[in-house]
Amino acid sequence: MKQQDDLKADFRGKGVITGIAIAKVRKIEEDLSKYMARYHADSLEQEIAKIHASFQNVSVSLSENVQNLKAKGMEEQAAIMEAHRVMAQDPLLLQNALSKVETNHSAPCAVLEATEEAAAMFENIPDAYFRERAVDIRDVGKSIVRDILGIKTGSYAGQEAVILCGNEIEPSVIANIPTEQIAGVLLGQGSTTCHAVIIAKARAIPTIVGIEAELTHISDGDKLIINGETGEVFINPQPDIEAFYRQKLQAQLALKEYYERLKYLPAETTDGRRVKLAANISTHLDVEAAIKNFGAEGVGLFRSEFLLKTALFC
Amino acid sequence: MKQAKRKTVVAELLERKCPMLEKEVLIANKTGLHARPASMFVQTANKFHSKIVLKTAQKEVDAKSILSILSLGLTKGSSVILQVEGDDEEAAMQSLTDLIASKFGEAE
Repeated sequence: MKQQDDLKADFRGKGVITGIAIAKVRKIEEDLSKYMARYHADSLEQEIAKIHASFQNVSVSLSENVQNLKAKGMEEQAAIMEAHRVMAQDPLLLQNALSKVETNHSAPCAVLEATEEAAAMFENIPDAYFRERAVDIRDVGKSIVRDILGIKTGSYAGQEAVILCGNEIEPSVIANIPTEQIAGVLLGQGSTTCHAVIIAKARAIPTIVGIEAELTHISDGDKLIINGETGEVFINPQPDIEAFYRQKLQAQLALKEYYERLKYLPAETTDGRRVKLAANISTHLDVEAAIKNFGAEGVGLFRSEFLLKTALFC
Repeated sequence: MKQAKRKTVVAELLERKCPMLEKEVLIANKTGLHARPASMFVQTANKFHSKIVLKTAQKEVDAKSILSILSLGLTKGSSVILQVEGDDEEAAMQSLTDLIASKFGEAE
């Protein structure tokens, strides 16, 4: 068996959520252009009707998402999707799309232009949090365009867990995939406060960001190993590398299982001394997971400086 | 009263002489009017028929549009003028100022 030092990663990003993942990669198709090129517009009336219908369809499917996420107790993700739903019902966005279709006669182009305009407006806001909402509005716009173009967002049910990879992964994409279907997350962009990272963090999915320059080296379906602790990424690894990381992954899973069995036991020493089990948390959002997943009874270290940073999702 | 056709909400409100409710409110919740509070605000505003406008020193926007509200970039401590006009303006003003005062249910 090789030592870890011998195993040179193909490249390294910034590891933000620790853990090993070994799985096939699913590249998130952000590029709608090939579908757009094939699109044939109908009459102006029909294009207008398509815009109305797709705004409606997307807002209905988003409210279903919100209900599903709430039913699973995923309040944080539900709040993000709720904001998306309100965006899909935004009168200004709809009006803007309708006025653009008058000139370009293509429903998907009109929607893309209208959302791009809104996103550009956000990008001019000095506050980083507001700037990042540009991702959300583009996400909503793309969902509407996909609906117009009839692109199915593939079902993930019953499939092997995958590593999701994209420059930016839209929050709706990640929020809609059940946790057990996502082995890891690889993001090209480097933000650690974007919604995709926040959602991954809430689900403890190994995540690496800031690999934009390397994105082209990864193809859909490649087998990847990612190490969320060190930021290392291996593409189609040699068997010895995979064996090494499989072993680490096994140990990680075994440890998780072991801890899971212990979480509701009282924190007591063998001679009967009761101690308080406390969790180190970054934000108030971690409290629920600390209690539910780890059986914490209190907080040890609280990263109170995060309260001063406004860039976190509310 | 003559109603100008195809005017924007804002232009119409500015032009009319009839009374409307106006109140300056302070955004006091810790995250400001970010995505979640803004979506709550829009949903509350949409329960009423009244025209509702948010006004800062720089611009005025339709309070029933989340994109418009987010574009104001209202962080904690910003103050904004809320204008409401219509048959249910009092109830609308009450609900919206209550919502802001409740800090959108956020913890301190």
